[in-house]
Amino acid sequence: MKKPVVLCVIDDDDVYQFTITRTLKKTAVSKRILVFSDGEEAIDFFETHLSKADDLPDVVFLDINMPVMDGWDFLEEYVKLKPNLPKPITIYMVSSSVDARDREKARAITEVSDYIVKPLSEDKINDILIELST
Amino acid sequence: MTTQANKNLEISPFGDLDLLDDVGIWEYGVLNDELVWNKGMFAIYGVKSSAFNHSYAEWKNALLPQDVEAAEEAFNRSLTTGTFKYQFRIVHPKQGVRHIKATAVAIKKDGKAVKVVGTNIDVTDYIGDVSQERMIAGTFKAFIEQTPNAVAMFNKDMEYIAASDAWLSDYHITRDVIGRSHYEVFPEIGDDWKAIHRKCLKGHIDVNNEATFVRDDGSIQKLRWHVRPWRHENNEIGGIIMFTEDLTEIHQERRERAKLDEVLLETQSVAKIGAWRVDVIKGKPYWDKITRQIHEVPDDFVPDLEGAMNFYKKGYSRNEVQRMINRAVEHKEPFNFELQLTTYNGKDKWVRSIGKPIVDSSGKVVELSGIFQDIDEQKKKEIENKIIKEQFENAFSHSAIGMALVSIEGKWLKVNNECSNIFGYPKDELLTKTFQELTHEEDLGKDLELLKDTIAGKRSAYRLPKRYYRKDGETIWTMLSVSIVRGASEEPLYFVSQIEDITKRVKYEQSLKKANKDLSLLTDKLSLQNKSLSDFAHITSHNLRSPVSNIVTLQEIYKESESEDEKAEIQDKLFQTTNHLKETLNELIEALIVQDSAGENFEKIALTEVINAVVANFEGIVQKKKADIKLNGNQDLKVLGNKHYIYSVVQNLVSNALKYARPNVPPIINIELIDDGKYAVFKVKDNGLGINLARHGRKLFGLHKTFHRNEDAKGVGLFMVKTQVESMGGTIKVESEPEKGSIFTVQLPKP
Repeated sequence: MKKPVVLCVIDDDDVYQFTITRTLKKTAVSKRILVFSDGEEAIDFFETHLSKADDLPDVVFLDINMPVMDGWDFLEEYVKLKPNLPKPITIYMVSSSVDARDREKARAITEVSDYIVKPLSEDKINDILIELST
Repeated sequence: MTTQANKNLEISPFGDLDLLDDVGIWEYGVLNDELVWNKGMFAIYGVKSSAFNHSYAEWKNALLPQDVEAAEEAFNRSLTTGTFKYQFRIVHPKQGVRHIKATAVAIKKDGKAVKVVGTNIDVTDYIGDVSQERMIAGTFKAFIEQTPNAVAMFNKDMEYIAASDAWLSDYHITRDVIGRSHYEVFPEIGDDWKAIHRKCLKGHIDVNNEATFVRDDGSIQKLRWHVRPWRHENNEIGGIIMFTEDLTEIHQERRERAKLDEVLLETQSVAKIGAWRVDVIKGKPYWDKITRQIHEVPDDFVPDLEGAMNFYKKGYSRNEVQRMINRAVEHKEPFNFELQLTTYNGKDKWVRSIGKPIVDSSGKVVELSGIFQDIDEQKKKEIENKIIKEQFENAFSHSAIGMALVSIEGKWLKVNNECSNIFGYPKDELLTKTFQELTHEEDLGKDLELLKDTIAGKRSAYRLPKRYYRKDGETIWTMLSVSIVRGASEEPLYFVSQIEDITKRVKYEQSLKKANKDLSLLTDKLSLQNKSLSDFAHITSHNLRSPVSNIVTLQEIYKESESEDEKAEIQDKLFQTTNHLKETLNELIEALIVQDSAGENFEKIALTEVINAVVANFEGIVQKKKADIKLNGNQDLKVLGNKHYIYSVVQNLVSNALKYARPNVPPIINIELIDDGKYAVFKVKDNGLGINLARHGRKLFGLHKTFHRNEDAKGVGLFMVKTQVESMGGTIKVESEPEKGSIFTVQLPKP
């Protein structure tokens, strides 16, 4: 039995939280889902679980526009944290923004694997998960 | 003793010495006044020994009366001083006056003279005729000593007998020379001179009108002299008389004069001034050396009148010469001309001739005489200068830029036409002014500073953009270039100023600058607008897309959902989302309206009124939270804007202040009204949670942001507030620190 994949959603939109969680649950992969409403919540969690690799997510779906600490700020903090992480984390930037500037900005950050425009379709999520297992 | 002496006379006490019968030897006993003479003494004195009474007195009697005193004195001196020599004359019974040379020496006992012994020698033959010599010398002496000329009298041994005062001063000696040999006094006297003296002593008369004499100290004396023998009554040569005249001074003078003449001559050649004259009767010109040189004629050239005039260049010069010569001869008019001639060698040169007519007793002109000068170089320079001056004048007058000569004090000395145009003053009026009068007060300081430096020599010129006032009062911009002209001793004479009217250029530059500035402002505004626009677009896309995408997803889930509970839940969410969407759309539309209607419905609004109304509205919450809202400052402050917007702004800010109070800390809100000139400013200060501006500053006034997980936090408020404030031409900014509260400052234009 494969270890469950830890999926992480960082987004302030509670409706979106609802929908994405549902979509993620429907996938075949064994997983645990972590949900945070803003970057600060997420970073706090990372920091407190640095030693526990199993608790930390494998994949992060990161929203840009969030209160308190937005996606960019989160990434800033994440980069500082990264050297201490016990395992690699794949980060997808997720946004309803089609602004090319955002896309470019995301591309420039090495920690970001890809930029995805909402809504995340089920297929897209599956693709991601499959890619992960390889 | 006397008797014994008498007896022993035949047996002389002098023994064998007695055989020397022309040398007198004597002995005198001081104590007993006894005088013993030898044979020689008797012979000299012409006294028979038998007749001798051996007393001092007897000797004394033998002396020539006028020599007694001297001889006695000498004898007495011998008693005290030892050996001495003296001379006196005696009267010999047969031979007459005889000259005696005597010596004496005292023999002392216990310091006192007891005996004196001595000799007497008849030196008459050696001396010659003493009396005569003395007489002549005496006469001469008086004469010589008094003569203004330098005269000296010598005896045959070239010993000084007498010398005039002039002689003494000429040769820088004193009368002590009397008796001394001339060659001893002047050891530098050469053999040639000595030879002359010897010749003269033999009877030769020597005259030399200029003899050179080198003194001991190396100085040179030039003498005129006359040497001749002088004779006794018996015509025997007694010696020579020398008469000299020191020509050295005269000689010096002459030398100086010669030098002066030379210099003068040279100067004349340098100045190339020659002399000429024309014998009018004979019609013959005479040229001096310089005049000849100027004409460059060979030494054997003889000028004739026509030929002389033909030297002058054909045409004007020649005509003029002829005319002037004629006028001089016929009308006695002197002339002074500067004309051109061609020299013998074919060279052209400018000459000046100044001439005047000389008339005879009948008033007829018999001669013309004058000077002639080569002025070629000067003339050429003069012409050159004239050309340069003309060129300058031309450039000056017709220059396209203003040119002026300005005095050191700043007075306009000379101005060209362009200057007149630039300043709008007619030339003569401009010349009554100084540049300081016309200069713009802001530019005067710098100008004067540079001027001062130029006068002081720290710089030779300067350039300065400056403003002047025209006559009509208008300000003009010019580019001024100033350079200084100095005199021969480097003294400042005047300034040469060039003034270029650059008003147009400056105005153009200024308008360009302004346009640039406007452009910048416009660009800023536009980019601001652009930014806000893109922000707007950004915000709208996100804020609209989010709920829309949610709706889409929810619908999909609903479709797939099998559970009724889940369906209910989804419906709920759908409702929530559509509401959110609606709200967002409203806000956005409102914002658009606000932006669009900027400027419309603006009126004078009293801030105090609005604030009081808003606070009244929040009465309930104020009570609940035990809040304290205070209003300070300029209560009369008014703004120009939209009543609704102002109300909305104030409401939002107060609402936020109340909403974001610190837990369990009653909110204290201070609203301050400030008059800031063109703007009215009001500040809303609270003691609430504050904002981390470092983190959120950028997005503070953006659409739909929240910064606290506060339930009431909507965030859209500040976006709207900013939009509304800016639509009225105002600004909003915030200062805040977490846990320390915030200050929102709104600036709005006054009516």
